[in-house]
Amino acid sequence: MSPRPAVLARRAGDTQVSLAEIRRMFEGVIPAVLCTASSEGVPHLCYLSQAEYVDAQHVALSFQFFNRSRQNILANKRAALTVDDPYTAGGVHLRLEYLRTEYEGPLFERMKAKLAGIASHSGMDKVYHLRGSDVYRVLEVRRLQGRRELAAPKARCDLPAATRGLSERLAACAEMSELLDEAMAGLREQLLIDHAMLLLLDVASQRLYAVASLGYAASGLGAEIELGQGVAGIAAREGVALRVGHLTLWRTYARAIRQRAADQGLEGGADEIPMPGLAEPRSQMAVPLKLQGRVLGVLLLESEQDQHFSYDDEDALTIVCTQLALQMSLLQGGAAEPEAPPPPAPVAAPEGEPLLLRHYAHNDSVFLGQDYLIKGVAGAILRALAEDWLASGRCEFSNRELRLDARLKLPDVVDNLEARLILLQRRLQERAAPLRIEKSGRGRWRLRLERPLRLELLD
Amino acid sequence: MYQLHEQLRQFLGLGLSIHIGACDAATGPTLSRALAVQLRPAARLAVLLPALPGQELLDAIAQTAQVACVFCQPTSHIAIQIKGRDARVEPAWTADWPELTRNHHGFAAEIAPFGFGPEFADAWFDVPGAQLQVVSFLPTGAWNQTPGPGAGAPMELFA
Repeated sequence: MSPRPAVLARRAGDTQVSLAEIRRMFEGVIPAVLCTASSEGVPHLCYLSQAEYVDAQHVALSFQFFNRSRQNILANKRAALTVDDPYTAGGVHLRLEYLRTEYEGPLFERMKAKLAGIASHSGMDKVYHLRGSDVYRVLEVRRLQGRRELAAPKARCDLPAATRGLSERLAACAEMSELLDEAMAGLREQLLIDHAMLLLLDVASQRLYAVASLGYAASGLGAEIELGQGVAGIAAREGVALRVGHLTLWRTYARAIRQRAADQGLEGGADEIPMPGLAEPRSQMAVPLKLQGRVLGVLLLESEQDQHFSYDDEDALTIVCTQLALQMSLLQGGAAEPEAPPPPAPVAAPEGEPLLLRHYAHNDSVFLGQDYLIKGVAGAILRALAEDWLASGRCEFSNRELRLDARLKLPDVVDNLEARLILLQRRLQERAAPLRIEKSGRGRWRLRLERPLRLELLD
Repeated sequence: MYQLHEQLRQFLGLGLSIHIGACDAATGPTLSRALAVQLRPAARLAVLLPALPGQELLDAIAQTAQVACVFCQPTSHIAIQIKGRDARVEPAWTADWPELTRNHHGFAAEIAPFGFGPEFADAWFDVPGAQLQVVSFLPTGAWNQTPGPGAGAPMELFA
């Protein structure tokens, strides 16, 4: 189907534009509106939760419910769509031809993840999910005339130059702790991002744990979320970058759906899940760290500003996260670590009130006295170090030894051991604990005690 | 004289985002944003829209008389679709449309919580009177269009 020449001639005031020029309009901030018609020509309008830019000739629309629009599309394949620019108040009218519905593949996964990210803000994923991605050929894009458009917002920074600056800072790092610090500082200083959290995946527990953060009242180091929880959890689970620009809007949108679901007697899902980081973020972007087809973790960025992160930010951060994943993997050590530890220097046993260290085996959580410290592999490491110290007075250890230590239950492939040791080191520092771990050489660590230890092993 | 159901009348007085759609055989479906809605005698509805981006839509309505309108309150996402089969295009006299200013302000207040300043609504609503057109019709059906499961359920149209 193509528009008649007469129709084109009549629209003298309209401007034809290319789809690529208007990519930024597909942010899902202002719901796109779809117009279809029955075989008898009865029009029907429908709000869409997602209109996705696919390429310069195609868009994809979310197929969530069997409804009148769906019937019309399957009957005659023709549709029109209006999309409003959330930055300038401009808008476009698209004439579409339905091609196919995709039920799997990268496009479907990306749209599903985005929808799940939205649903995660209200625990509505059971009701609110994507059935398919309807792919349309775009026959025509017209800019809507007669609107008094606003100036497009100024870019936050020179993104290519900022990305290069951050990349160079990361490339200069030779230690994991330096890499984590530079990543956070670089995000702030180069890309002008105020709030960020780097989470790594623990394959065994399928949970993500924070190893670095930027701009929060509490560092949140060691905080955990489940894979699939929130925008970060979904980006990590699906291995796709996600951006949500107007969280206030999506929260009210999810509330509307939840009310409808309750009216319909459908299960409403779990209670709303508290997000890590900002209490009320207005924008979030989560970019997975991927290497050799596997997800190692996710970088979560947040802002108190609406639509703070753009498509261009997503492109830039995807490159940064790929570099981060590769470099973290290199700095995990392994081949470069020394074969055998040098003989440990004799250390005098500390004196004073013994520090009670409690270890719970079911989740490897560790408490210092009554205070929670950490859990998971980092907790198992601390327990192993404490045991060895109490058994033999040993305080020097290497990554290589720890990797072979069955008490740690490290995964075979990606263990993130170095990052977990740094996490443990920083947690102990944060708590001003009378025991610390510190680097004593490449791939080597030392346990330092200010007070005697007492270890209690519990189930 | 019968009139629209009270629930609809009340809803149509809120600050609303309004779209109107039509379809003619040759060009297919088309739609446009409208700026205000007016309750007319004998239960008719009229919507006011900018003619320039809506010209194709107005042509389709003139040809087929079939329309669909969807009215949505942004803060609650409550949306209602109303259709008609006898739509006609009329000239607009802004003096007859106090609903335009009311919806302009109402809509601006509705989108403010989402971070949109008043200039955003102004960009849509500040259309010269000479560029406005009216589409009026007798509603033949109304449906709940609030997103989520159950969208599409018919609603009581008349009191």
